[in-house]
Amino acid sequence: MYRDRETKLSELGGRVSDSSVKSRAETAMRSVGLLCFLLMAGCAGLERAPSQPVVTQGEAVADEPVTHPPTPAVAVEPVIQPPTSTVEAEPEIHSVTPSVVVAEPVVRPVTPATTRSTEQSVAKIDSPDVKIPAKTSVAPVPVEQTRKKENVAPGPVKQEASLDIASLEKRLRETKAIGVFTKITLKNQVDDLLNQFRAFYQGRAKATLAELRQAYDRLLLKVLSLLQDKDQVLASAIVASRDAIWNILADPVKFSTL
Amino acid sequence: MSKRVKGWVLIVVMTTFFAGPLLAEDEPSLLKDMTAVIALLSLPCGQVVSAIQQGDNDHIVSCQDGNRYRVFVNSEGRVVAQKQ
Repeated sequence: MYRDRETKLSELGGRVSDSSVKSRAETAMRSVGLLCFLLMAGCAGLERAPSQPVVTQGEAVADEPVTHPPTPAVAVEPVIQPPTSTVEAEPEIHSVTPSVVVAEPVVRPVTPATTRSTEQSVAKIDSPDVKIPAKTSVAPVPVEQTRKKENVAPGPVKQEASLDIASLEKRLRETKAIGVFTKITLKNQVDDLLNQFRAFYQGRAKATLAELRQAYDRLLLKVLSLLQDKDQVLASAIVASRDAIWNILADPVKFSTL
Repeated sequence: MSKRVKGWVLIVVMTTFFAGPLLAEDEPSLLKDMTAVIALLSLPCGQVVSAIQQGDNDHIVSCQDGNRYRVFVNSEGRVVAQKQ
């Protein structure tokens, strides 16, 4: 009898110890499962991050029409142009060269530059809806843009209208809006353009001054497209100095002093 | 579970949670930088989705459209994107 009781007691003790071990194992498994879930959630959050900022370059151009309602453009000049072209052309120009017009409101002889900017933005967007050049509607649109921009922020652009190449260069080097590789690439392209000008003035190049102007405008647009989202102050300073820089480049005497 | 094991588990978990995001923080800016470089060089890419560092100023990047480039700074100080 005693032996039987002792064996039963030992069996019960073994069961109790087994159950406590099982409960510990279950809690451990639960905690591991929770950790795995949290880790997966963290990784999922990380994967989304890179896709967002890069898209902003392209989408910033595409999103601007939403912020600026196109109805006023249609309402102001309905007779001169077809409303569809006006509506679609306005955001393209507005997105790429926002404050060019502020520096030089109406008398803007460089219409090819604005049309190129529209083409570039169209190329970035890659959507068939926006892909209308609409060169005829380019001229009246800046007038409205000047009205809008003057309401928004006329101050800083006017302050930085004077040219200071050294400070611009320094600010371009120090800005965090552009990555290191991009800065090196831009510097290479600036050097290439300066070499083209040098060759032009030495009579070695076949390029005309108008072609050099196009190259200059293209390069400036590249810089502006990189800066306009994250360093708008520097972008507007560069826009304000655009013609002053060109005057130096186009003048052989001034260019030789560079 | 002993206290030591619990401590180690805590350390591992905290390291995983905080070190991972810290390491990955530079990734988006690098991808953006590479995207801008390839766009400036007028090469087809769209958007850089991954970049693997090969060496100093030397990366292999994969684009959204499937193109792969080796982006590096050559001996003349120029950024070059070689199609792989």
